[in-house]
Amino acid sequence: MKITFPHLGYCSIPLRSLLADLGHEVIIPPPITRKTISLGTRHGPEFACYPLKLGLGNFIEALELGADTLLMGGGIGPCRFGYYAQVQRDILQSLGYKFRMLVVEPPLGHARQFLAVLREVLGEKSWSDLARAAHLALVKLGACDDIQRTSLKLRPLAQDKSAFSKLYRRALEEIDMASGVKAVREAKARSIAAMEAMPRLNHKPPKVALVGEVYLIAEPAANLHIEERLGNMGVEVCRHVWISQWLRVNIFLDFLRLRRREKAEKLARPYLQCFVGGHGQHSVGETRKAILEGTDGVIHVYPFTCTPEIVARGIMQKMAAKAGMPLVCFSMDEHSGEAGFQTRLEAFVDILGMKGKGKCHG
Amino acid sequence: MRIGVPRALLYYNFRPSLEYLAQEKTAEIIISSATNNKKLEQGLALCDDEVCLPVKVFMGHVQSLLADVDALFVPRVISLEKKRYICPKFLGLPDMVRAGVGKIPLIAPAINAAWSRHRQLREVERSLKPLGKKRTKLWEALQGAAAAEKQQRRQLAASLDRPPRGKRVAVLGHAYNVFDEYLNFGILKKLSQLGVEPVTVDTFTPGQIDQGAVGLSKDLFWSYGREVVGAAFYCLHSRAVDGVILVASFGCGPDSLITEIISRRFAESSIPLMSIILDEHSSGVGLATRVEAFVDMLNWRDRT
Repeated sequence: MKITFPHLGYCSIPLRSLLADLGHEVIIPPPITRKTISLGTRHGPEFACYPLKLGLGNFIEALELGADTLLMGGGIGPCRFGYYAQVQRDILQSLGYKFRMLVVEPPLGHARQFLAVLREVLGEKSWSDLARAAHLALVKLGACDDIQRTSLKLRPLAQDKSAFSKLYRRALEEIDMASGVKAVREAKARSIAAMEAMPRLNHKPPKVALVGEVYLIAEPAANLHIEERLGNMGVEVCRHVWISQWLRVNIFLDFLRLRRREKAEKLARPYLQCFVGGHGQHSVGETRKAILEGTDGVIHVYPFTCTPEIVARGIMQKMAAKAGMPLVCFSMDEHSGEAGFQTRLEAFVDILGMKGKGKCHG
Repeated sequence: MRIGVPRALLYYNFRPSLEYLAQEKTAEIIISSATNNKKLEQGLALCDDEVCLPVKVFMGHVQSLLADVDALFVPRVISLEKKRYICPKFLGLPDMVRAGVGKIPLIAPAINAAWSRHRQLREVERSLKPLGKKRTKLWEALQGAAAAEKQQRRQLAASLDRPPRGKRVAVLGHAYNVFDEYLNFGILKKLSQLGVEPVTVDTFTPGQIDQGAVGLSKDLFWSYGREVVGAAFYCLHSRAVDGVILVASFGCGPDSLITEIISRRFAESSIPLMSIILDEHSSGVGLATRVEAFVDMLNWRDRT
């Protein structure tokens, strides 16, 4: 079984580790490029959101490399992501590809489908093999998240940004290479120490909260490397959507029926009382948190036509205007241009600077 | 206490019961007048630019009601069937109204099919408290509304089995796109004028929709989206119609996938399908031309 999956930032590292440990040949789709985007847009539905098109592009490129099994997430709504696997399968079949698609539905409510996919992936391996492989994958995911978290803090301070980027890339590579839990932990500690040891600038970076839809936040190719850009401009990015934490809350705790309202959801309630699908309610809650904590600005990224985030956006704009909080919204799709994006980001960062000065001089 | 009901969005799905309640006068209910240019303009000014056209129109209706009413009826519809939702925007609609027009008393019962009957009734009672009516009185009114709804369903459901006068075309889409004449430039009337009998989603019985939806590889988790797909697939099997027109609004999340699923299936069949996307830049003239061409094509097929 030559298995593949769509990209989601550095999630290919833990996923590759998990599937390879279970004895599968893993074909990681080539990194997202213009070609991926145009393949996805050409064959995908015009008004579907960016993640569907990018995922479709990933699948096509991986199928061209010989993949025969596609692993894709499912869902139960109201976000339309839950139906993407079915639509992508129809499209790929009509393009003449031969493959099997394994759709991982949330275990709560779809226990049977979930177990069926699990058995399929497990093959000959035992449950204890699965537990070991899953543990290593989760440790790798956590390590990647930690490295990313550190880089968000330290990149704005680094004197040599390109050396920092090199270090960051190497850190992820080392995690990818590490073959045991202990090796991952060591690699992580080493990389974080190296990042901390880099010569620093002497300035206090402005803080910006990055909120929005999880795919757009986690996939740098989709958000045009917004975190790296902001870091290079000397801005510290705070973000609260992390894949490892998302898995913990929405898969494990939800499955055990232990899921409680998260802080961001509680904070959002006076403004957006109920879950609206996707991360809409989180975006509102985190905007409120940023206002309460005195963060310097809020950046909202989401795919164009994402209904949950659009509902949130209207509410966030009112909140931000009332509180005098700079807020910029980027709705991204295949037409997003880098130069325009960079200009808007720079203008936003300038505004943060002016706001800071205004405070100093009263 | 005067309660305003915007003539937009789910109004079109629950028209018989809302009209019944307005006539019945347990409470003073004012339903806004039909959509017009002014309402659309007001809605555009109040809304974020990326929300879909029906929501913009809804906000226009809200604004037009504000001066004449003491409270607005904006339910928070989470789910109408077990394990199915409707579009996510309905989950946040009362919050969007509050963000758009500021603080106005809202009668906003949450409707969730996942709740127990008891919890749902309690929620409705809580939200209707400001009316200051007795429980029995409210209950009677709601029973009457449900009866009106049922009667309408029964009347409509029979119409698909009748032999058509001339060509029959299914106009499928969310009720707020299909029945708002201002939004869709009177597409139903236009079809009738061209001698074509239009049928809509509500003329299909739940049984027919289930029968159509069997063709889906995974149950669609949007109630109204599933109705559209079910009706379209039913048309495909039963050949009850000569053509299908899909009406969707620009940027609609569910419809972006539904249109794709339906058009893939129709591409292999001999029933013609036309998809129309509406937004505030649509032109009635362009739409009329497309509808006329579609009907011409249906008529020519007979001759060749």
